[in-house]
Amino acid sequence: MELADRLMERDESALRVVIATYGGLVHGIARRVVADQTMAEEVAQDTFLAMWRRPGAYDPERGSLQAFLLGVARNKAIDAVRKEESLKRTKESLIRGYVPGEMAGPADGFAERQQVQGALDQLSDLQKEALVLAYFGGRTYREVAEELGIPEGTAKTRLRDGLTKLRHLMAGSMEANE
Amino acid sequence: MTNQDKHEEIKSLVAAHVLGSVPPEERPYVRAHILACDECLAEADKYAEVASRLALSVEEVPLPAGFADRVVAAAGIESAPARQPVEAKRGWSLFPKLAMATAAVVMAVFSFSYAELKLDLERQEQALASILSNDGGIDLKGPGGAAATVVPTETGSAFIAYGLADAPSDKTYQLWLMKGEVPVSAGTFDVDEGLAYFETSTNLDQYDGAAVTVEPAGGSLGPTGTEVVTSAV
Repeated sequence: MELADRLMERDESALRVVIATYGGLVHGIARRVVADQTMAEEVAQDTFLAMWRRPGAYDPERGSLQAFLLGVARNKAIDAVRKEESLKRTKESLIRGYVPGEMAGPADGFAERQQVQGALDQLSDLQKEALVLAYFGGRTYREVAEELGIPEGTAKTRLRDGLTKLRHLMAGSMEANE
Repeated sequence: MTNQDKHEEIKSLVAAHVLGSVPPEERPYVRAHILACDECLAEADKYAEVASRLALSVEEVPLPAGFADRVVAAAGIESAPARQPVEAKRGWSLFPKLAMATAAVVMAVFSFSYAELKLDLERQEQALASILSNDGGIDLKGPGGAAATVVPTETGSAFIAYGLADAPSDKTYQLWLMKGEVPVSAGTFDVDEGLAYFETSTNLDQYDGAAVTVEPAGGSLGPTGTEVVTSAV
């Protein structure tokens, strides 16, 4: 039986398998967004509890369980930093998070994750800092503009151009996953 | 501002919206346009898949020892009591119907795709209208104010329940549609904070009643457990 089906049937061992498989990555994105270690753990815990309490929110036909969990965790982490300013990472710490290097983690989706990081490394510094501030920093485009000292229109353009370039760089793997 | 100006203005915000970086006060306005505009919807979905993959670039950070045990304990798995339907302060009234209509909206499936989101919203609007008009639906009631309704939709039917407690960890709820005295399973479901919502391809025309029972996890071939809500006989 598929993991998602076992979760629907309230199989505790399925919950433990999901945590063992994706826990490090879910924790990873929480730590990437939230400056505080304890809060990042809480975000990870809330993510798995949300999945357990409402397994029907995940539809295997709409994407992988990994992408679903990371999406939920990122949303929860962003909510946390928007509620509490002190949990926000600084611009410098967010940008520093992108040092190309060896990746670790579950074998599941490893090549895809490596490709995403490789694509990010190919963005211009200006596009990357705007994307990182918006996506991992929880900044609105207005805050991105203010923090980078650029007009709002330029911030919007950098976000759009960054995503467009990533899309081209990742085109091969996205088609392969369809 | 002309419609074309408005379109151009929002189109420039589509990428920001997909990244979740449109300020909260602007978000409903931008989202409504994206869902109504084919060009912006296509643009949003073009970015949405890329944006969802950004999360994959993070490094794994090991969780502290005992994390899984804490999640399991918080989920109440080891001590899930067999609870009865929760007490509600009111009986059958407009309130459960409104609560159920709300449930239909809040139980949306998580999605990265704007096209899928649009379809979800359209289906929910239809279910919501059916619930409130009770057009051809079957109402179910139970002790303690628990209530449910099954309503016809374009693709089959939608089921919404209100006021049910979580099923025990080794049990599930199962919906039965009645053809006279003969029950036919319409699926198993779980509740989230007292609410449940699911859609089936079952056409309601041939059924004249419904009931929900508590069954072993995975469901049963025929009803074996306690009825928690049932339609008037």
